[in-house]
Amino acid sequence: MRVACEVNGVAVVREVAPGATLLDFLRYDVGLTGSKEGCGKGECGACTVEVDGRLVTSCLMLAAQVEGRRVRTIEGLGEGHANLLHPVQAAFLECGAVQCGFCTPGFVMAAAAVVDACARHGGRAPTAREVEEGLEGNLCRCTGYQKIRVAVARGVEIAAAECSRKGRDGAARAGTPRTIRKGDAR
Amino acid sequence: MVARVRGARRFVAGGTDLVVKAKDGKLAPATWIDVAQIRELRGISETRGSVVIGAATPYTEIIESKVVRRVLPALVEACAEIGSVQIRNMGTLGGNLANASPAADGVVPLVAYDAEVVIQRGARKRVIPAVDIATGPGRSCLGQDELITEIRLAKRRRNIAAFLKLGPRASMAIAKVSLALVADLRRGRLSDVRIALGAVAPTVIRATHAEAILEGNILSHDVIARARVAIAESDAIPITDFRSTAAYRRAMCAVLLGRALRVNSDDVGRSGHNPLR
Ligand SMILES: Cc1cc2nc3c(=O)[nH]c(=O)nc-3n(C[C@H](O)[C@H](O)[C@H](O)COP(=O)(O)OP(=O)(O)OC[C@H]3O[C@@H](n4cnc5c(N)ncnc54)[C@H](O)[C@@H]3O)c2cc1C
Ligand code: FES
Ligand code: FES
Repeated sequence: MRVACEVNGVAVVREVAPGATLLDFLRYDVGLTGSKEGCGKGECGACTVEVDGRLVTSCLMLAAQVEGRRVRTIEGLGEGHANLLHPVQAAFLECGAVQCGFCTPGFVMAAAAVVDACARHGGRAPTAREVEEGLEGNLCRCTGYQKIRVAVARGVEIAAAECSRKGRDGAARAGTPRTIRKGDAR
Repeated sequence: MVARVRGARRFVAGGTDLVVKAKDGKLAPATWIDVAQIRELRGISETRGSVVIGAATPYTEIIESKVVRRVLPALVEACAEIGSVQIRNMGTLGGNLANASPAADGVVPLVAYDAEVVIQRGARKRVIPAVDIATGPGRSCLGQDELITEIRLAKRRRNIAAFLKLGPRASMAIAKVSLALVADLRRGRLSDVRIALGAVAPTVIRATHAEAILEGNILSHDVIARARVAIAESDAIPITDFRSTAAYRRAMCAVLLGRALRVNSDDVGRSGHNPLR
């Protein structure tokens, strides 16, 4: 069957098997391999992406269910930010919140949702509870979570700094816009 | 439209039960019909006497709804305990009801609030109490092509509402026991008491014995003690499985009832406080 949707701001049309998951669609049909398959059952969050602005586990959503909808993956998260890195991505790098890295794309997507929600509420810091709840759908077997927590807190700071910088300089300074070719969903 | 699909067919909403089952090879092949984006099945509306929740409304929207927060706090508590952010952005009450798990967290408050479930097949509509949707573990009263369209909840003046869940850990855990309690407490006396239990019977059930002991009575230590015995010994009919034992589940029914009553009697009118979290 044919699926037409928007992935990271780019229109995508692909022929997919009716039972294909959104995760398989992204990885094998669109070629975006950032989202990972850990459990395939909604438990680990490694496959987390955004559909119409809400986080979902793409291993449990069918590709057919994103027809006409907007999908954002880890590859598109940094768009419009300094160095094409979302504040949470910059913070994960800075804090070393990554070991094997398999869980990282999912954690970054979930953490970015927490940080962005706070940024929308005037840049206040999330409570420990909010961070915990925001990340409850993601598992990491390497880091012990401590550095991930630190990185989320740092991500909030970077986002706040970015926000005030944008306020001063106008939105134009927010990273170098990349040229997006048709069919290139990255 | 549904009738045009030839052969076996089934509905899918959030897919959080169905896709997992399909991957486990537990489903016969069928054409899946996506209902998640059907506008008539989504959203929350309010009439003078009731709140109507579209069957395909994701949990997150229910939790964020001002009217649900005001009128149905135990439902908000329960939805907030389901899965994770991602699962709550996908999963729906329609799926929770139709899936008919005895541990369905969303169904427990629906039963306590006497929710009515609207089921439609073509032009034929029927309305079934939430407690009667499941007929056994994983079995429901839904016939071929019957679609749950909405859930109706009456607005009633009740100042006690609680949902409590015991699982192996705080997030992403299937309940060992869950309980929802709603009631009205005026001058120490309880009325309009409804208690629902999850994971202690083949389906989500009402704790009618405990309700009868509490109804119309002053909330005293003696009444609470008798209700605790009734809920553990007469209402709960649990089994021992890999999640828990029957004895533990019985004991925890009493504990959760005690907590629900104490939380609310110390702190009447303010729900949303969950001592287990
Ligand atoms: C990681 C994870 C954690 C979870 N945690 C919890 C939890 O804490 N508590 C809990 O209760 N559940 C939990 N679940 C189970 C699941 O998320 C819920 O039962 C959810 O409500 C199912 O809704 P859905 O829309 O995803 O259903 P689907 O998977 O789309 O459908 C489930 C069943 O309902 C049928 N159906 C769906 N919508 C309708 C409709 N409108 N009319 C008729 N039939 C319909 C489908 O045909 C199918 O048989 C969890 C699942 C996962 C994967
Ligand atoms: S791969 Fe999707 S949640 Fe684990
Ligand atoms: S870094 Fe290896 S699983 Fe998280």
